[in-house]
Amino acid sequence: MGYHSTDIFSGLSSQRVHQQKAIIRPTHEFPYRENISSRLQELICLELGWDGYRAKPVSFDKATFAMNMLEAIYSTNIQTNLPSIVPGVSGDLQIEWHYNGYAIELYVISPHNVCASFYHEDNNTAEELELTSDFSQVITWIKKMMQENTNAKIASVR
Amino acid sequence: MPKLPPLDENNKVIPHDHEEITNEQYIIRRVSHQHVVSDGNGGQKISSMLFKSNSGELSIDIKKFIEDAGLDVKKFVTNPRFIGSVLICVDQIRALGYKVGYDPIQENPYHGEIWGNLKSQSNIKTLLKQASWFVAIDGVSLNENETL
Repeated sequence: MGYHSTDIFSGLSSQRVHQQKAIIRPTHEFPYRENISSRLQELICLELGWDGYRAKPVSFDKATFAMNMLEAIYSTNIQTNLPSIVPGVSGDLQIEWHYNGYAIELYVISPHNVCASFYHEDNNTAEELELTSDFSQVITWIKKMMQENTNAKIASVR
Repeated sequence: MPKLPPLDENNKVIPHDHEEITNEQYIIRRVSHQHVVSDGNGGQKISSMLFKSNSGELSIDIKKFIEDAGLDVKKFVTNPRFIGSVLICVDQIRALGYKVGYDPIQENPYHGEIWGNLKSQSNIKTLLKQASWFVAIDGVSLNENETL
């Protein structure tokens, strides 16, 4: 199946705009759109059994939801790196950011059904939430993760 | 050959603890390059998705069954698509409340399953900490306890 990276989510713009209004109203351009779209396209095209067992390719509806969710998050002008996007065994996927031992994981089980977690690798506890359409807590976590990094840099300079 | 697993009316394997998969044995989970992520500090690590499953079942290879068949285990579980693999002791998996059973499939007669809540972040973190490399991927960290 030969999807073009910029075409895969075209035709969904009105639906996406509608969903964004329900999630977080975008105010800025989406910085990693091409990279994320290309990665999601790759995951949709995975072959059955890509994990060495019976894993399915990522389903189109979950990839589309993930794209919308990331667009909503990045449209708040949040400053962070490009996330990793990892396929699951059931056609699901996870979006994750790692920075200085911190991890934010958004496990997209199905559209509007996201298991979100925030933790530090040295700590046995994690903040865990089930999210549907409000991802403001993820933005709070990203800000905290990036702020902790800034604080660590300041401390190391001193 | 191992004893066949229990089946339901649709011939699907029922979640079970197989009697020939004893607690001191090890299971193998293959690792695809799809599981490798950035650690945010210039390195690479394995994603927790290696052990997550929304369906409550996760495919594994049963190391002892492959050994008993006289096969080279590392060769059996590795190919250019699944480039690495990890080991976990069965006892550690069952201690978290999971079942570890046998589920042979046409292409893999040594295939098994872990059954249970495979969405729990705390359990997944524990599994990742307990895992060790069987076939390591160069430059990729498995967990924070490991030094490359």
